[in-house]
Formats: sequence, structure tokens, C-alpha cells
Amino acid sequence: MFENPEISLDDLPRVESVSWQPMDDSLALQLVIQQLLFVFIITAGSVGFRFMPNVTFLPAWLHLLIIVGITIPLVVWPYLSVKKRGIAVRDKDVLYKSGLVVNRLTAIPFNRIQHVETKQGPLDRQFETASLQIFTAGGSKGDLDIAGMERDRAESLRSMILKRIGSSIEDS
Amino acid sequence: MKTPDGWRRTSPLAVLFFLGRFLKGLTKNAFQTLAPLAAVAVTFQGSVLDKLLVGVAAAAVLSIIISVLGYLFFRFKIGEDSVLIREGIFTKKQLDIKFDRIQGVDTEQNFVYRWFNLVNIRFDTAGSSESEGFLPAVTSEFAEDLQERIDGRRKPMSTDSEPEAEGGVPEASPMLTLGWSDMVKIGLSDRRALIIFAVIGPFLEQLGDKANNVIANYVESAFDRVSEFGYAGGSLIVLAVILSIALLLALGSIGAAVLRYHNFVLTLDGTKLRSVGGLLTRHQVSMNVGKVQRIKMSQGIVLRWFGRFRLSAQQASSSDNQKESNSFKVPLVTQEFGERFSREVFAPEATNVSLNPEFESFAHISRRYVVSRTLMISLPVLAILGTPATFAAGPYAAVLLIIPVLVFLVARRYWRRFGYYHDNDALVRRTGLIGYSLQVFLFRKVQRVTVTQSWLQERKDLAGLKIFLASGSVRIPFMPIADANRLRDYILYKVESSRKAWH
Repeated sequence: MFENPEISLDDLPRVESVSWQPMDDSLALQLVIQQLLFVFIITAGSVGFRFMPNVTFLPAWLHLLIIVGITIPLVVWPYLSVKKRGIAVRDKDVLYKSGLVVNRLTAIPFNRIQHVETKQGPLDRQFETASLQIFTAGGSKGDLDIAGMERDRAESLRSMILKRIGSSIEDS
Repeated sequence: MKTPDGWRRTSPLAVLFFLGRFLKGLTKNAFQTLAPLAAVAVTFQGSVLDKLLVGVAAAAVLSIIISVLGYLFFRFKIGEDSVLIREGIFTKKQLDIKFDRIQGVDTEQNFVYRWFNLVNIRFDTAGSSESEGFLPAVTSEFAEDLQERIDGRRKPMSTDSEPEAEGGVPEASPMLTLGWSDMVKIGLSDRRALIIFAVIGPFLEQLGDKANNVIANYVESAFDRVSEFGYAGGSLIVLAVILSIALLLALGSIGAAVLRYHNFVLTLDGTKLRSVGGLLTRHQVSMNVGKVQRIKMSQGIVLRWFGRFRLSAQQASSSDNQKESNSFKVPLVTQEFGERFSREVFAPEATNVSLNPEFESFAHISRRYVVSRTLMISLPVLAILGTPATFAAGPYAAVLLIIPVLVFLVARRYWRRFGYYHDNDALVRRTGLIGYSLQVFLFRKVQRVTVTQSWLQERKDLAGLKIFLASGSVRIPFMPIADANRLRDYILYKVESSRKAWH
């Protein structure tokens, strides 16, 4: 028997009411390490330049000030940013929020996911985390890349999504 | 032409196709391919004319040999559920194109093939950007058979459809035809007419001193004439030259439109969109309506003047920028036709969608958009104005002050034109600076949704909504956060409760 009950728009499930799960605790530290690597390269480069013969460079205090000025936000930003990130899995979609200055909340329904990947970089292996990548159709630009999940959670989410992709495929 | 194992050759006229493909490849990598020819020409002893003749002859012989070999090495086979192709002279290539993956069977027919009733088939396999499949120079009956077979494969339930299925499919009545006056409009509105200027420009610069001298001489003599005819007469001559160049460009553009769209006929046959058009080469393009992800209707300044739009129905693409082959294009439509087109393509959904840009239900985005955009672009400019560099530039730096004003005017115009509205199934977005651009898509085909909110927007309870389709994304900036969230939740509901295929 065909049923088509009317659905009130106000009764639709709301994204706002989900409980968000935070990223792995080590993520901020991982990001800081990445940033410091960048700072290190810049510092090494500029110091090397400074001691080259016949080169007049910025005064030492300004040089130091610039390097410190670059470093502080790069170290502080991950701690603030990671707090804003969160992932939530509902029955029919995955939600991911992020963004310090611009809050971004992305929702991907399971029945639109093309494939899922987990990825582990060197830092991920050290901290036993992984990043989860979710791909939908239509362009690689905006595919969702969720960094710094606990490895086991990322793996279980991946296999769960893989199962869902198969089960909710429609007939044409 | 059939061999015992089922592999077959196409018609020998396929040589033409391979010749065309070879020449296309040649022009694409002109420098690499011309180098060996240049080597031949240099080593050959003789006058310049002889060298040229030998070079051209060698190129001609080479391309003919390669085309004939291309034909000889080309074999294909229609399998149970796929098309198999073997080709390649030095590098062997084997293609196995599954019927399921074929989105459309497009054909083209040049004027030689028309005498022999042959067509080139191109298999449209969306999503895969790698090598596309071609079947050159097969009979048009074969192409139709193959197409029916591929479609039948996808929809095995065709037995209980209308009785027309038995006695051959009758010609569907055309939805749209384009005549001569339309060709003029298409030609004049073609962006390529403008591109010609852009292309010629840099070449002119590269022509070097010689050309410069020639031009200088020409200009000088033009000035002489100016003095001869007086100022008014001279400027008339210059004006005439400019006008005739413009006229030539326009004629060329109209000619291109005739070549591509002569006798353009668009039909909607059940679930299949089909267009045929072209003067020397007849292009046939088809697309299943179920594949359509989004319909776009837009106009530039010329089309706006004619009160027309160009329309494209996009299907899923693997990259963000729509490839040519991934959309079904109609070069010239009225607003009413666009509306009818989208209704019939999306039927039975979204039947109340209006593509009238003047429609009063369009909702505006927040006025804050204008302020935000103006500040975002102007602040860096003003920051530059504050630096010591400004003093070096002196009063000329004041020119930069025009930028914020221009940005403000453009942003306000964009804001005024921006509108969106939706019914239960679909959303329509309207944008435009000079002409209008309208796009419509079905909620259930959405891939994912993102709501973004900057901290400045947060204070005003505004947010941006970005809707990702399989053919690119649609953005609605600066809408009330409550609306954005509600629309997102509704889209998710539509997608997650849908049992229909989205592609």
C-alpha cells in the first residue's frame, strides 16, 4: 500500500541538535609540529642569508621580531582551530564542522558518497591517527578531508560508510 | 567485413576520420611535429620553393600513410554488454566500454559521409576523462541499432510501453528548430567573436620590428591622407576600416554558427533529448533526461538585446569546470522555451518552476553583501594608498580611489540581480550583471551541502549556503542563517529519502 504522509517542515531533523565528537587530542600538536617545520625552514633560510658575505640584511632585532611574529599565531592557531572542529555521524549522513574565522558545516548524505579513503602521514603514524577523505561526484575541489581522527575510529567509520554506500543505492 | 571471431572493420572511408584526427593532433603539438619536417627541409638541397614543396609533399604522404594504417589497425566488436575497440599502430590500445557507462551515443556526419550514409560515433562516458571511444564511419542504421541496444540494456522494461516500440520509433515532433535569422543572432552573440580580438592582440605584438614598421608606415600614410582629406575625412576612413573589420568578424562568426547549427532541430523523445544540426558536418547529440543535473540559461549583452538566452543541460562531470561534451547545449532559446524545457526535462518533478527573471517570488540576499564585498576589495587598495609608495606615485595614486566606487557599483548591481526561490523539488537561482543567468536543479540530485558563516556574519545572523551538484556548485551568500539551515535540512531530507537514481 502506497503511503505518502505529509511532512511538516518544522519536524525535519535538524543538524543543529546533533552531538559533535571532537578530533583526536594530538591533532593540535600535530598541526603545531607542521607549522614549526615551516618556521624552521624560514628561519634557517633567512639566517643563512644574513651571514652571507657582502649582504646588508634587516637589523637583528627586526629579524627576530618578524620570526617571532610569524611563529606565535602559527602555534596558537591550531589550538583554537581544532576546538572548533567536530564530526557527527547520523543515520543517513556525515556532518563535519570546522573553521575559526569562518565556520563551515558540511553535510554529506551516505547515498551520495562515491568512495571513502583513510590516509596516514608520518605524523599520523606517530600519533596513531588518520585522516578520512570522503568523495562525492562532481569535482575534486570540495571533497571532504577530515584530518586527525583516531585511527580506529577513522577505520570503523570508513567501513561503515562503505557498507552504507552499497545498501542505499537506488534502482534506476 | 566481419571476421570469424566477431571483430570487424569500419568502412574504408574511416580514413577520413583518422586523417582529421591526425591533423588535429598535429596542430595541437605544432612545434614538436613540425621539427622533423623542418629537419628534412634543411637537409634537402635546393631552393626555398623546392624545400617547401618537398616539405608539404612529405607531410601529405606521411599523414595519408598514418590515416590508412589507422584504419587498417582499427577493429571493433559489439559484445553482450559492451563495445570493444582495438586500435593503434605502434601503441596498441584496447578499449572495453560497458553499455552501462555510456551516457550518450553522439554522432556526426560530414558531407562526404552523407553521400554514403555513414556517421562517426562518439561514446559519451561521463566521469572518465581518459580516452574516449570512437567508432568512425559506420552506417547510420548501425548507429541507431547500437543506440537502441544500449538504451534497451539500461531499461529492460520496454515491453509494456506504447505500441510504437514495434513499428520502429516514429520521429518525435521537434521541440525547437532554428532558422536563418537565429543563425545571425547566434553568430553575433558568440563569445568567440570577442575572443578573436583577444587572440589577435598578442600576435600583433609578437610580429616584431618589421610589422611595426609596416604598421607605422600605414599609420603615417593614413595621417597623410588625413591631411589630404582633412580631419573629418581621415577619421571617416579610420572609422570605415574599424567598421569593416567588425563586419568581417561578425560575418565570420555568423558563418561559424551556420556551420555548426544549420537546420538545428531539438527533440525530446520520451526520456531522450536529441539535437541535430550543422551545415557540412551534421552533429547529433543526445542525452538522457535522467542524467541532467542542472539547467542553465544565460545571456550576455547581445542576447539580452535580442531577448534570448543560451541554454545548457549539464550532466555529471569529473572535474569542476564543465567539459564541452558534458553538457547538452542549445545556442538560442526564448525565456518561455527555457521554462518549458526545464519543466519537461524535470517532469514529473518541479512542474511549477518558473525561469522568468522578472518572477516576483525571488528572494533577495542581505544588503550586507554589498558592504562586505566593497570592503573586502577596497581595504587592500586603501592599504596600498597608505604606504610610502603612494607618495612616490604622487597624485596619480588617486586613480586607485576609483576602484572602491566601481566595486561598490558592481556589487550593488549583483546584489539587486541576485535572487533565489524554490518549490518542493527544485531551486532556481538568478544572477547577472548585464544579462540574466538562471539555473535550476533538483534537490534530490544534490551531492552535499555546506553552510558557512564568518564571525562578522554571525553578528548579523547571516550565512552562506553552498550546494554541491555532480556538475559544479551553486552558492547563495548572505542569506538569513535560519533560512540557510532550514534549506539545508530540507535538502538533506529530500536527498536521503529519495530512492531514485541521481545520475
